[in-house]
Amino acid sequence: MKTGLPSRATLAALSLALLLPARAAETPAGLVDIGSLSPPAGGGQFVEVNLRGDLLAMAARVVAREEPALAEMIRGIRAVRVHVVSLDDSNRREVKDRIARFRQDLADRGWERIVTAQAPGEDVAIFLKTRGDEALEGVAVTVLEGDREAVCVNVAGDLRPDKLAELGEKLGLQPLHHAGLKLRKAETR
Amino acid sequence: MKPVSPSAAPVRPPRPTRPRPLWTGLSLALLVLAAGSGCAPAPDPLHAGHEEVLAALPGEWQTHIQVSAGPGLLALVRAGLALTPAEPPARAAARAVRSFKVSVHRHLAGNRRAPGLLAAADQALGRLGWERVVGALEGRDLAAVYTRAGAGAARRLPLCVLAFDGEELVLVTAVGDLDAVLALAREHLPAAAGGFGERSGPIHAAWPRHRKAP
Repeated sequence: MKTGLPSRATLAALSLALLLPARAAETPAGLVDIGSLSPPAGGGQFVEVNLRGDLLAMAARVVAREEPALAEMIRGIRAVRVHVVSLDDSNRREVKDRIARFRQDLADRGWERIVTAQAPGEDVAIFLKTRGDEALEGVAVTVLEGDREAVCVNVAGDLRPDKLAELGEKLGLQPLHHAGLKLRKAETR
Repeated sequence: MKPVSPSAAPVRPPRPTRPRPLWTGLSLALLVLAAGSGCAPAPDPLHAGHEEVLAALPGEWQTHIQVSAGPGLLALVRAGLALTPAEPPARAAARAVRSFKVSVHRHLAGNRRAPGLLAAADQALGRLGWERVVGALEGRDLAAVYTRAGAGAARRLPLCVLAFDGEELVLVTAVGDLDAVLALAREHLPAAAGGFGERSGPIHAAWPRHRKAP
C-alpha cells in the first residue's frame, strides 16, 4: 500500500482534532461566519478548521495538568475558525470578494478595525469585538497575501486582550499572535 | 568414559502444580466477553458513519482492507498485552482506543477530486450528526477529521478520519478514551504537542507559508 498520504495535512488535521477538540448550542457573540470558500481548482492549499466549545473545553481539561496557564486561556475560548486558501484563477475573484464583504460586514456590525496594513502584496485587517472597556468577545484577522493566498482567523470567547498574543503563539496562529502584539502596542501608547 | 546407569541418573522431584491465576482470569474474561456482546465488532451508531461515507463517495472504489474491533475485543487485546512484554506504545494505543473500524479503498473509476470527496463526506456525516472540525486539501491529497456534535461532554471521543492521496482512501471511525488518546498524540505527533507550548503548532503545520507579521 502506498503510504504517501497527505502527511502534513493529516498530521495537522489529526493533531488539531485530538488536541483542540465543541459548549456549542448557542453562537458566541464573537463568532462570525465567512461562509464556505472555494478551494483552488489547481490543487493549491485549502485548510478549514472549525472548533467549538465542547471540544475546546475538553482540550482545556486535558492540557490543564501540564500547562495550567494555557488551559486557562483555552477555557475562555468558545470557538476557533481558520481558513487558509491558496488563490488561483478559479477562486481568486470569489475569495477576494468574500473577504471584502466579510470586512464590511464586521464594520457594519460594530467590530472595531484596529489594524489596516496595506503593502504591495499584502493586505491585512484585524477586527475586535469588545464588551465594555475590558473584555474582548472576538477577534477576526483577514489577510490577503497578494494574489496567492487568503487567510481568515476568527477566535470567539471571553478573551483577554493582554493574552491574545500569547494565545496566538501557543496555538500556532501567527495572525492572531501579531494581532495581539499590535493590540498591546496600541494600548501602551 | 564411564557409562551412567539409568538408576544412577538424578531423579527430578515432581513439579508442584501451581495455580495459574493469569490464565484462569484470561479464560474467564474470554468466556464472559464472548458470552456477552463485547466481542461484536464496532458498534453502531458510531460506525454507521463509516458505511454512510463509503456509500456517498462519488466514483467507484474497491475495498482493500477492512478491520474493525469492538470494546470487548479490545479489552481482550489489553488483557493480552498485559501478559506480554509489549512495547509501551502498544499498551498505550490499546488503552486509548475503545472501538474502531478502519478501511482502505482504492479508486477505480469516476470522480476522485478531493473537494468532491470532502463535500460528499461532509454531507453523509452531517446527516448523522457529525461535524467536520478540520479539512485540508492540497493537490490531490485530502485529510478531514470529524467528531460527533456534543462529543466534548463525555470523556470518550468519537472520531472519523478520512485521508486520500489521489489513489487510496483511508477511512477510520473510532472512539477512544480522550486522556489516553491525547497522551498518545502528544507523544507521537510532535506537531500536536507543539500546538500547546511550542512554536511549531498544529496550525503552523497547516499553515506553512504564512508566518510573516502583518
